Amino acid sequence: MQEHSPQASYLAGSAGLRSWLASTDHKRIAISYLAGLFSILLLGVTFAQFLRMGAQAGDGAVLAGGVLGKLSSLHGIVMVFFFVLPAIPATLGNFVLPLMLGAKDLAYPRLNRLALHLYLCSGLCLVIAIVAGAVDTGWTLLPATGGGQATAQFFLGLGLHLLALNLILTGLNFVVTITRMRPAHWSGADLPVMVWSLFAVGVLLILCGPFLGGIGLLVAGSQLGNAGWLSVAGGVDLLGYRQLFWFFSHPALFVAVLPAIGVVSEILATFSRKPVSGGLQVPISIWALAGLSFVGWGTHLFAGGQSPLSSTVFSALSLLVAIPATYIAYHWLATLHRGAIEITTPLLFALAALMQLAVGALSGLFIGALSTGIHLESSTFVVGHLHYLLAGGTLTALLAGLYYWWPKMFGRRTNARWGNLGAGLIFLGINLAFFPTFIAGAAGLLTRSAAADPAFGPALGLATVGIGIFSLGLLVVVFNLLHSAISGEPAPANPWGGATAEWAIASPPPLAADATDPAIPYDFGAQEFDPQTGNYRTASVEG
Amino acid sequence: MVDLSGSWLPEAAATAAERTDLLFVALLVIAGACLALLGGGIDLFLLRYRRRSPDETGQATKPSRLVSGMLFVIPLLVVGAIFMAGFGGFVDQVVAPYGAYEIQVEGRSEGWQFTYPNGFAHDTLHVPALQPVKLTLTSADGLHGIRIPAFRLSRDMLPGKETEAWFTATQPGEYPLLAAAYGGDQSGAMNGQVFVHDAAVFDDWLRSAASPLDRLPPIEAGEVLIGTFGCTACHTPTGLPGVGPTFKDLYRSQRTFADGTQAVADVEYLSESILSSTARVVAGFQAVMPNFEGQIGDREMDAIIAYLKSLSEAGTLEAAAAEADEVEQPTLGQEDQ
Repeated sequence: MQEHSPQASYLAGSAGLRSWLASTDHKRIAISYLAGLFSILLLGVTFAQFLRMGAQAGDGAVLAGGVLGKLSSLHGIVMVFFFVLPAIPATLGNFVLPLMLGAKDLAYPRLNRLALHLYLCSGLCLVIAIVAGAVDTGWTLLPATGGGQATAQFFLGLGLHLLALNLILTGLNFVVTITRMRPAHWSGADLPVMVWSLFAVGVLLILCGPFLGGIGLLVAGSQLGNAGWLSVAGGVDLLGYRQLFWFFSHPALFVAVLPAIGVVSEILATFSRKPVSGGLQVPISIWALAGLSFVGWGTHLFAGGQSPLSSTVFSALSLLVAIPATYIAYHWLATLHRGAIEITTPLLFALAALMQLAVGALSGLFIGALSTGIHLESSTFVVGHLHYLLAGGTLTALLAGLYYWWPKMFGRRTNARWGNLGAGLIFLGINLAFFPTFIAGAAGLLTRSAAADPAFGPALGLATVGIGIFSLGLLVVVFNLLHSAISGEPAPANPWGGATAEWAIASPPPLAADATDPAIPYDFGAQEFDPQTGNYRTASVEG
Repeated sequence: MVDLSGSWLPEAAATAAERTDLLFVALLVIAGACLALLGGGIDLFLLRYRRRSPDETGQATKPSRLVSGMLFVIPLLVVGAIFMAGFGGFVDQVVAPYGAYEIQVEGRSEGWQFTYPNGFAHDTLHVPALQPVKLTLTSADGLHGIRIPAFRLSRDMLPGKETEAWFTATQPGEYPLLAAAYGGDQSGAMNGQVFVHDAAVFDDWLRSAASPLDRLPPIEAGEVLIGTFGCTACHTPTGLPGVGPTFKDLYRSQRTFADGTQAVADVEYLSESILSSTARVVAGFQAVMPNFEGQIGDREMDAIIAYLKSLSEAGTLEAAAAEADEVEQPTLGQEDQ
């Protein structure tokens, strides 16, 4: 009986910062990432706050035009590269992937620790870049746009290079773990959807990570000895640079979204108490999305100077994303259909993420179609699309996953009332903040425009209020989670009735869990609820 | 169909907008329907399939082959139609019709430069309505992008590479012309208006805006105007004889008229003989010159006289003296000497 294992929990024992940083345990590493990621999130949301309020107050009223541009660049760089890319894989992925497979740890625990250290170093480079005067290149790091301070550029490039190494190592670790360490008798259909999504993300990271590494080197190296690789005077090929950038960044956006699909799938299954509908159809759709992500870079360049033929091909390819997206949406709905649904905080977050991902995906149709896509290029419509996917999808799914696995991570239940309030505030905030950007963008408001037409005032006012509500929701969530982790009601091994392997071991899991031979996932019928402990016991563990 | 274009899309002012807007509204309907289905389904199932006891499990459902197939076919057909609709609008915008009115556009951080077919360069875009206009785009420094939401037009501009865009504006008026911002300090120097005029008004605008007076120093402007008004058909600037007297050394020269009177060709005389040429006709010439009264304005007259002065020794000496006195007489006498 794992839940009464005499082994100490991974949280107990040596508590110093050094012991956490030196640990090769995937659970400890996941928690370290979580701390780092939430620091980054705090930074990114603060930038967003100032950005929104600065733009709201009008040109130069609160912040000078140049500061506004820098804030907007930093918000994008911090959130896209340093937050949403590693967000779910590094935290939830690290924590639950080995447990879901009954593995002792990831395949390469020391590589995992190295990846954590690389992430921390890249974060340090980011901080140095900000302190050194920041950059004003936009989040696409476009050269020759007024650029900014050379030291800042150098450290930003270095940081991105280290981050790329981190992402590649994480992807490699996941892929090897899933292919080599999954239970031998499991078929593909037995792998939880979360594992499938992390598998696809791992492959994507291995394939597109090197391009981020290259971009980082270009940005950093361009500042060394007047190399000027990325300067107009140096003859940079701007179209070529943008193709390189989007060749990385288009799959990168799928790296952010695919694990969100995994998290939402797991939560829908558990709280409907039935497997994710469709068997392999959802995993196959995830792989289809991953594949299509590599032929989508030209969607960002309809107006960017590529040939009309390229634009046509990329439009067709990017619109095909609708097919796997339809499968996933249908099967999510079918999972709820005839389920035994219990409404909980994780489910509320997951449903919010689901709807927001749907809005994000559907808004992609407008951008992927040629004529409307050209009209919407570089308008705030694209901002809405991106934020529905990344804040509405990835971030909301991360919070859903944290609420879902928090009892496993810390052995304590979260407070449902505060959690539900947080879910409501975040859902309201995200929609208030980003739906108006669709309307304003369609009407012709461009990104980064400090001096906007007053006609856009009401929409942007709403967005400012939305960011405020969102931030409040985030505060509620963070305090609720922290408070629960320290003094929440103790949680049993399986408080939700989850039917994947991580729920069969103690909460919090022991530091050195032995490899187990887990039951086939999603066998909800094998569980029995114990009203005394509030635990769902699995018959096989009992026996 | 629900007309949402009024509230979301900006007022349309180019022919391409119609197809684009139709697709946009269709997409809004499709997206709205999908979200309603999804949201409605979730709400329905949350109400209908609540867990009544902790041990209750959901009933595993398997999609039929038909449903699985439809999940592929339906979105394929829908995005196929969306692609074709978007492609149709796009193809229209790719190749400008033969004979389109061509304007060269250069993006620069400090502002736009629009060069019209007559060589006149200006910092604002004026176009004729109801006529295809082709923009040939380049950038002087880095990446710029031109966006005219009312025309549903957007195109980026790269240094060393020409890109193209075209449109036919439908409604005279002013519409925002925006610069896509890719980074750097957003001073908004490149945000402005595009002015659409009726064809006749546009021609007038271009003629008056392109007037040499506005873009050239007076002497050069005068030289151009002499050509514009057709003076050089009869008068040479070189001293060679023509139908009329040469302009060479005309200024401050002694004139003898057909009636035997004499006068010095000063500013008043030159002005008079241009506006009402037949008042005094120089001996030996026919009174065939047309009157320019009402056709040549004061500024144009000043430029023409400055040019005439520059063709005579007296005029250049005068100018040199004036310069020495630091009276402002810019560049007088430097041309053609």
